[in-house]
Amino acid sequence: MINMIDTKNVMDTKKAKEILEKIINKNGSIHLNACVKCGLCGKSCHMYLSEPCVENLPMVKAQKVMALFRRYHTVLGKIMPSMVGAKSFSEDYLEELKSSVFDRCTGCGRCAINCSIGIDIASIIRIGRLILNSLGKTPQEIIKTTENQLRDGNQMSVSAAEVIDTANWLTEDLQLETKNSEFKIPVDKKGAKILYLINPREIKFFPLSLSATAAIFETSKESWTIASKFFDVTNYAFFSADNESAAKITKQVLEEAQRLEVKEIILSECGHGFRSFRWESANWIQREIKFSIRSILELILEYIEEGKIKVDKNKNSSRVTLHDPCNLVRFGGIISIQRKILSHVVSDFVEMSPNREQNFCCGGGGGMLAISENAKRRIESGKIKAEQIRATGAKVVATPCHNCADQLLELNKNYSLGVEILSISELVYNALTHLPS
Amino acid sequence: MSSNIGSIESKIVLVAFFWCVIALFVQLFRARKKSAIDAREYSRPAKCKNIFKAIIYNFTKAMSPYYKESARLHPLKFIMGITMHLGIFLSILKFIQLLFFPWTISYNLIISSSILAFAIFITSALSGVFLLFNRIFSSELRSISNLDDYISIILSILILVSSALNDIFLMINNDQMFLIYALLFFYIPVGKLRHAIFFFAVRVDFAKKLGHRGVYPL
Amino acid sequence: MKVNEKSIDFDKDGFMLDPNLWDEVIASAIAKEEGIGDMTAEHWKVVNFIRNYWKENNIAPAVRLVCQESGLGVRQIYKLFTSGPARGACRIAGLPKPDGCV
Repeated sequence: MINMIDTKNVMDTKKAKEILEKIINKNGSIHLNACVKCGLCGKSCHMYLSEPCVENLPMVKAQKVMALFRRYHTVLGKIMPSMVGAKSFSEDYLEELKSSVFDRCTGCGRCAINCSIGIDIASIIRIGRLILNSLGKTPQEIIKTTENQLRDGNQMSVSAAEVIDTANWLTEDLQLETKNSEFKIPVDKKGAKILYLINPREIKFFPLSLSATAAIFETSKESWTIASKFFDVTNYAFFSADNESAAKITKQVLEEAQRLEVKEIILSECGHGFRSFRWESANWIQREIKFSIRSILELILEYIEEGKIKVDKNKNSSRVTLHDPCNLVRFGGIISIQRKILSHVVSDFVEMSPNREQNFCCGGGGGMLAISENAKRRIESGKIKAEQIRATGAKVVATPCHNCADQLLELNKNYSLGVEILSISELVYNALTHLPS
Repeated sequence: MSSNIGSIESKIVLVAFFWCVIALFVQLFRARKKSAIDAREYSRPAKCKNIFKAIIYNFTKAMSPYYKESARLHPLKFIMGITMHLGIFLSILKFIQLLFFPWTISYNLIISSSILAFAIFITSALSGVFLLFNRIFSSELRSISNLDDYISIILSILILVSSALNDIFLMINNDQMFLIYALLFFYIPVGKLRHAIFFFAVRVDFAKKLGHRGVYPL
Repeated sequence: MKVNEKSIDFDKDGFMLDPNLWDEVIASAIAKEEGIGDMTAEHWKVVNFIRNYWKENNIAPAVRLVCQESGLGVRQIYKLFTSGPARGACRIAGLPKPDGCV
């Protein structure tokens, strides 16, 4: 009898253990030690609420990582693993881990702020993604998009020529619409004060938000530019916790900002993009970033409060509600600013409930939108958000995140909400007083 | 003015206590980020950053039912958990008093040797039993629980019951109770009960992160 | 999905797994699923342009090209295809799912 070893499926446990140790040393293991298995985190999770099964409990998802930690880094885990639920590396176990941290979690962190003990559960999920990434198990769609970004400077591989052509095309439209022949979208303008990073979606599929922001910049007579090559506000390596690639992507943009001799980097409305550039990127590249980095929302509020743009809230007379992107709000700290802006540009504003740091994830975050396999679960987990929207009676959902906007568009279709999804820039643009209605 | 460290049981529990404290701090030390570069925060803080206030918030308001949803949605378990922990803390204070400051017992009757202490320990023990039964009879909790979880709650209940029995009625004497304390102290660093120290560590750590970003305090 | 007795496979997002099997009947079927009903001349202009661009360049065209070719504005495109140019028009044109945040 010949023993055939399927070499593809032989787990290199030694390598996996080394990787785990390196990750534990780098990230610390405080949060991996603290769980008491109370199980109360379920009802704070949009996944669990839409499908109440034990696999969707945040604790169970994080447990997939904690079990590995216990197995190789605690005494009981080493000598009596079943007593503490410790688990060993194996191909099957990695599949289970992947299923928990990529297919059943968007990393929204709502569980973390409601945890009995106070564990940063989202960071444990990220450690799980980092382990999988180090072992080559990240979902293909995320790897491919990250490769696009590393190779072509943006996640949708939009060419520099397309950026320039689109900017020119939008400039023409903008001048027509605003009846102002001086309005333009500058590209690669050296010495501008601000480099405005955009979501490639704004070039490729949805340019209205870029036009809107351009009009706001131009009305304020701001010195700004977009870049033709490294213009992307997103950082797809964030979703795979591939910190090395994330650092490379960050450096591409910083070098562009250096080349263009700008003073400040302003980030388009994007949840994970804001979080990545504002908070995580300096730690990825392990040095302070000399540029000021802010969200476009902070700048827009400044323009309104300083009177650089005049707005009339009655121009947005439909009922508007606000969706809070998790990475912008809970992990980003931009919480009141968008509300202050809306108080100036919208006459009938209604909050969803819950909101702000306690907001529910739209269901599309954490790379979920890119992973086709999860489409059904992604839409189902968005049920909570859909019901929140319906309960407000709003006709417009404002959201300062392109990723959320795409998910909300799908929720609108699937749950027949009958709402329009608009970015904050578009609502501000609609309210500008000097423009023809 | 003397302590109670005479009998063999009191020596055993003393060793167990120091084992517990030292092991927990060693674990905490080993759980830190190993390199200074990784431990450093390079991003510029939020304008409204106040780490101190964020940490205070995370230990006070953030744990109240108003802010913490899990407490609000599970009121019974929340109350039972608090009651049980109250008894545990009191029980550890009782241990310290008994072992090191036995002469203060007649002055401080909240912690031991009074009807009040007895009532607190019994109520806590009952809360513990409620939580144990909850873990046994809820299929979801059962499916996520291991032997360590059951041992932890049973040991806690044991401590609370012995503290109660030692009070007033002296159904078990100090030395017998010291042995039960010793069991608990030996076990704490070994399983999930290590959250005794890690609870503080995670709340400080998360508060620092969210305070830096201007999210906390709320 | 079964179209004219051919069984067509889609990924979980509703994009064709084998884009080379596309034809106009399939396009109409997907459009019905999108809630579009009967495709108008304007719908076909957009879909055919996207299809031909993809065949030549192996990537979805930017919305600018779609607008310039069809003579429609961006808002009109979104009115015609409620899921937008990516999940709406590209899907009906039988393209594989575009990468990234879409």
